[in-house]
Amino acid sequence: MTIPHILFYGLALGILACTAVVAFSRSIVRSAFALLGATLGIAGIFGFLGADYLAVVQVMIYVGGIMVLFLFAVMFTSQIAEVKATNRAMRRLPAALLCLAWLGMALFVIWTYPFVQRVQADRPATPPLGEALLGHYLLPLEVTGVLVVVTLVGAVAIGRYGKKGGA
Amino acid sequence: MGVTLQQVLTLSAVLFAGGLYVVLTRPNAIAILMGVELILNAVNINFVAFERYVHHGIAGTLAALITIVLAAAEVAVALAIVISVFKSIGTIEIDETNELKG
Repeated sequence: MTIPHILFYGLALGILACTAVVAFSRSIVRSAFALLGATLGIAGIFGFLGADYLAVVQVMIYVGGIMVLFLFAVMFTSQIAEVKATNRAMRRLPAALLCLAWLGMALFVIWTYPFVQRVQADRPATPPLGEALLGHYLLPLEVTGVLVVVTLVGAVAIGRYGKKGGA
Repeated sequence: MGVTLQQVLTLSAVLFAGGLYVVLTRPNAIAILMGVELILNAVNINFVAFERYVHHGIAGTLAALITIVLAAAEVAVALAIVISVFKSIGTIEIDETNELKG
């Protein structure tokens, strides 16, 4: 048990505990904050794997953006506490069996496939990332930017016209 | 021997299964979106893990970066739709929102 192992298992346990709260909590606000904890833990995993820039972006976008959106949506729709535990289409047991079957299949593949592993040496990851985004990967960057503009304008338009707006 | 690729992929697979369970069982549309976020995060962990252990370079980080941005855009649109549905039907329980042109 070395220090990387302790770090990794600590982060993993935290993430999975938060995921369990998201899955089983009756209160949607509690689920939202558990999702916040899970995304913070995943940012830690990114840092652990040497993607420091990605860890910062994860914290900025999830904590600063997505979580605020979730909390706003919860408050707008004012259904904080759920009465029902599950929906009608899928009860807990079949859903759990389905997820466990999928998990078993994935774990079988992961632990039997012969990966050739070489750990990448730690290096400052941000400068080559910026050069690639403004060089070889310029088109994906621009397409993503256009998509974000379109979706945000669309979100405003959709959220604005409800029943009152006449749509 | 540090943490291996298999351990990171196992974490990601368990996270994906948890997100799938959330999507399948929660009755609330916002909670279902949270499950989708968990699934997207699991995929991002896979991208970064494969970049670190198998395919060195920056392609994995770039893919994860674009996925994060797309997740943000997706959540913005989906929550706008949820709020719009709440305004016109009055609930976001997915069992109740079962009629078209309601």
